Amino acid sequence: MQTEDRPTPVKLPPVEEELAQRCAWLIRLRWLAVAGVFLGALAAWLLATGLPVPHVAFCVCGGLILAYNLLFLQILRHLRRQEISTVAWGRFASAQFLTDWVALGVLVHLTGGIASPLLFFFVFHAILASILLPPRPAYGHATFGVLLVGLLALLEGAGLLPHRPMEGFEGIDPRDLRAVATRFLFFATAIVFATHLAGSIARRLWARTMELTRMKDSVEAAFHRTRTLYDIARAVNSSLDLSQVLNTIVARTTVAMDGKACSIRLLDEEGRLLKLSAAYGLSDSYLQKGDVDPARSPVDQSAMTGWAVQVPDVAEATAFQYPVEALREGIRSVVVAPMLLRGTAIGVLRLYTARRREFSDEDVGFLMAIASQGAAAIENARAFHHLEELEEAKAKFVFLVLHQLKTPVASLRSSLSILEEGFLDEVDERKKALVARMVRRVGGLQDLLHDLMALGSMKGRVTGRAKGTVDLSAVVREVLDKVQSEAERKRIGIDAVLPDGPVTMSGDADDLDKVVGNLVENAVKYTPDGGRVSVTLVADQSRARLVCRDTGIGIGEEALGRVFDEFYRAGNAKQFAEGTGLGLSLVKRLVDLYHGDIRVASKVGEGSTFTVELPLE
Amino acid sequence: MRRPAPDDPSIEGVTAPENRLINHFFHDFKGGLSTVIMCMDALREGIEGPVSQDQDRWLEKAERNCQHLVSLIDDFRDLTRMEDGSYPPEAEPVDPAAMFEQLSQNVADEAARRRIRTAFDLPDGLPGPRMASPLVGRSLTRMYGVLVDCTRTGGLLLTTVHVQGTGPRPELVIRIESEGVESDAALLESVFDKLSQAGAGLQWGRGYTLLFCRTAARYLGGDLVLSPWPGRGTRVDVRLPLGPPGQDRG
Amino acid sequence: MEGKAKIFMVDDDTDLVDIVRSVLEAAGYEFASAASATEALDIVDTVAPDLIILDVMMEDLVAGFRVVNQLRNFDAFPQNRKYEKVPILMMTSIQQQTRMKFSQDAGSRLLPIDAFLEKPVKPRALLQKISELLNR
Repeated sequence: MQTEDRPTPVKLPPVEEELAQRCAWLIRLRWLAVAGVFLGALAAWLLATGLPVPHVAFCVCGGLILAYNLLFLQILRHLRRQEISTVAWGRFASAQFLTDWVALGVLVHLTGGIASPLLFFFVFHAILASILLPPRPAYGHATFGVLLVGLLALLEGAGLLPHRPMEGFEGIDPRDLRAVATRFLFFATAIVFATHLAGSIARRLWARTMELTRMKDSVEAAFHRTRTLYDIARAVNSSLDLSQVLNTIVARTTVAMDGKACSIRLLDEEGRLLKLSAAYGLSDSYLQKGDVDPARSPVDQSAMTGWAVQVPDVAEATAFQYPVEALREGIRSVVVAPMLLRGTAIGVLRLYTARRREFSDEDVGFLMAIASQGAAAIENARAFHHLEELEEAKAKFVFLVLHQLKTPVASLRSSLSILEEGFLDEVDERKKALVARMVRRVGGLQDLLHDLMALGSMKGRVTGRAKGTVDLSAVVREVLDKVQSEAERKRIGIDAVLPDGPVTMSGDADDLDKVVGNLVENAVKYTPDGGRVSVTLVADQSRARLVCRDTGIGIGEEALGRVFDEFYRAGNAKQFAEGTGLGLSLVKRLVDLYHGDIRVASKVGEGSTFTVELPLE
Repeated sequence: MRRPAPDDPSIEGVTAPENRLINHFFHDFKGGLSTVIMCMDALREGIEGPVSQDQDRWLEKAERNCQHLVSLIDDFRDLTRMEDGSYPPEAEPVDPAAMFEQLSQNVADEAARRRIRTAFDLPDGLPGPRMASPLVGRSLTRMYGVLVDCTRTGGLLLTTVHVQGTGPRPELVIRIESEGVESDAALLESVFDKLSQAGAGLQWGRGYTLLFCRTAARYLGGDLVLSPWPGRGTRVDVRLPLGPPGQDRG
Repeated sequence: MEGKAKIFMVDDDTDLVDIVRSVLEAAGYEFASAASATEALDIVDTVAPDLIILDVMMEDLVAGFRVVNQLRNFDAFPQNRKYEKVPILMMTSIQQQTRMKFSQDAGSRLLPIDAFLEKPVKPRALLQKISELLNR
């Protein structure tokens, strides 16, 4: 039985576990023996066959066995809690057998020495010992049992111990040397034979059991590794967040390799130092030991040439940059695998174990595979980051462009207005109508710039600006004031149902003004003259709900799913009024930023209902 | 670092919505301006009755502003398309000699108004008409507009052209020197920084015109470099390949 | 004869349609309009135009191309052979967004239109182009 270093996520290693279970079995069997002793005493008393000794002695004997079995049970429980070697388990089993032999010897003596019928039980015990123990201790125990019985016979024969034959088993006189010797010889032969037979069968079974255990174990380990590789590959492909992917890799690798810890170090921009990028299972103080300089760490240096390097024992290694720190951290063995990107190492993946361990080719191959997955993740993330930067620059550029367009468009509008209002020369009604149309159109361009800039300025914002507390109810009231004149012009009645008290939430008044304003202005805009618009705000402890309902032109079924798309404008909306097609996109983005929810229900020709729910905390 | 190709499908998802938004904006904005311009033209042509002289002048000025906005929008749009590689390969006949003749005519009025001396030093061996991208004429036209503005009143705007390389695709090497304030190289380079235009805009910050020209030159396989003209002003060196475009880009 | 020709404008910019209407009616043309490709195809038979002015980007990015295809692809739409001689003038601001050089493709099999004008268009240039196309 050799010590195994297989990954065992729970409890004891398989061989130790097997031994522990066998010891437990021995203890369970002993309860039967205890019961047998008490039952024997009881039967002998009832049948009055007359034991050679008082029942009391017999019962005391049973009691002693009971007591030491309890003791062994405690020891077993104690031993299970700590990681002890197979040798220790063997000693524990031997101790039990020795105690048993002595107890059995006493019982045999009490029941007639060499003539005792209990002598047979020595055979059972020999069998048990040879099942539980390796051959040499098993024969040792057999010899011990034989010698014990021989000594007993000698002592009784010499009269040094009283001979107490049982009724019906008096056939042998302990002083009859020939009979005693014959009996002893048969006894010894039986014991040796039983030990040999049971031992050889048990060994074969044991070998098979161990083989199966190991196979199961390696299949499980292989499965676990495949699973790990698969999970890592999935993480690499599904996430562009580099630190998240690398953290997944180190954590999963540690578990799959049954290691103590794992870390990833990447070359810095100058390609000189290996800087820590992710770690699992290492203490902060160890991580703060500093960057690894491959020039001073031959292990990393040779790993960077493309081959994984093993350090089976840090204590004996000289090729390690921080051996003292590593030992203090409880690190015993290390493997360093290169992270290769198209043949060039961009960093290293290190696996640490707490116990001394030689890594198999399989182990190393697995680590290399994981390291290359890590390299792929790094490339993905870097490419994406680069792209994001390009996008960000582009977005900023567009923003500036829009900003630059604002002034000329505004001056265009004012110069047309000057014309419209007749400051230059008189304009007749027809010309005035055309110029007014141009002014309105340029105003539309201003709206477009304004809305797109509002939309653009929200890029990169991840949450609603929590500038302070806003009274949503006041925001709604202000918006209603703003649309008042337009509603009056179109003879649209506005019903407002607002709570009496304030509806406070954290956020930015401008943001919420945009949300409410766009919805209410749209309602007025897309409702024909003489229609109705109703605005309802209700709130409880956690949420506020704003419902904006109109009797307007409505939104067709085919357009309902797209009204929040940028620049989308439903056919009937285009016909009915001017718009940029950005207002509702802006509302949706803002509501999303505030972790709220927006819904729309509508029927063409009857009107639309927009419902916004916003969390209040 | 691999720079992802614009048509890499994995990148499509990242850039497409943004590009669509921008393209949509360009379309709507230019459409609106076009309609306004058409209305101005119609008004000036008396479609709703005659307009007075003052009104006509006023409208003409507004229309010029409008047209300027349209060309700005076109430039911005094409700038973004050149940057993401989606600018369509087009070609039109370009005759370098005629092109410089046209350019000198374009700047003549403004130059005369500000007493700027313009000189075009063209070699005899300019290549004949070729198919080239319309970007060539457009960028040079834009650039001269800026350069005239930046030359000091009474200063010199000197253009020296020569042809480098023969065969199917010769290169036009154009050096334009403008008398004015001599700027240091760093300030000149900052003209091309899209995001710091506002700060650098003292002298060269004519919108994004120079950025557009450099992007176009590079897109066409050439380049544009600004450098100080020691003791006198600023120097622009442009290299532009003349020949059938689309040869070295798919 | 030319003065009575009927021009059918398909464009979703109502301001533009109105001003073009004024310009064309002042020049003596009859005028009809549609605001989308779908509407255009619905009413084209009723309008019976002599010339069609077409925008590209309307209800979607390529709405105008759909109209061209339906009016020019006689294999698929044999009933539209009557429009074979009706010139189509494409007037749009999206020249480069389609990656197509219209002025070169005008009249080609790829884009079987007769002329192309990029917005903004001067009223005079529009009238000239229309008269040119009608007198061809």
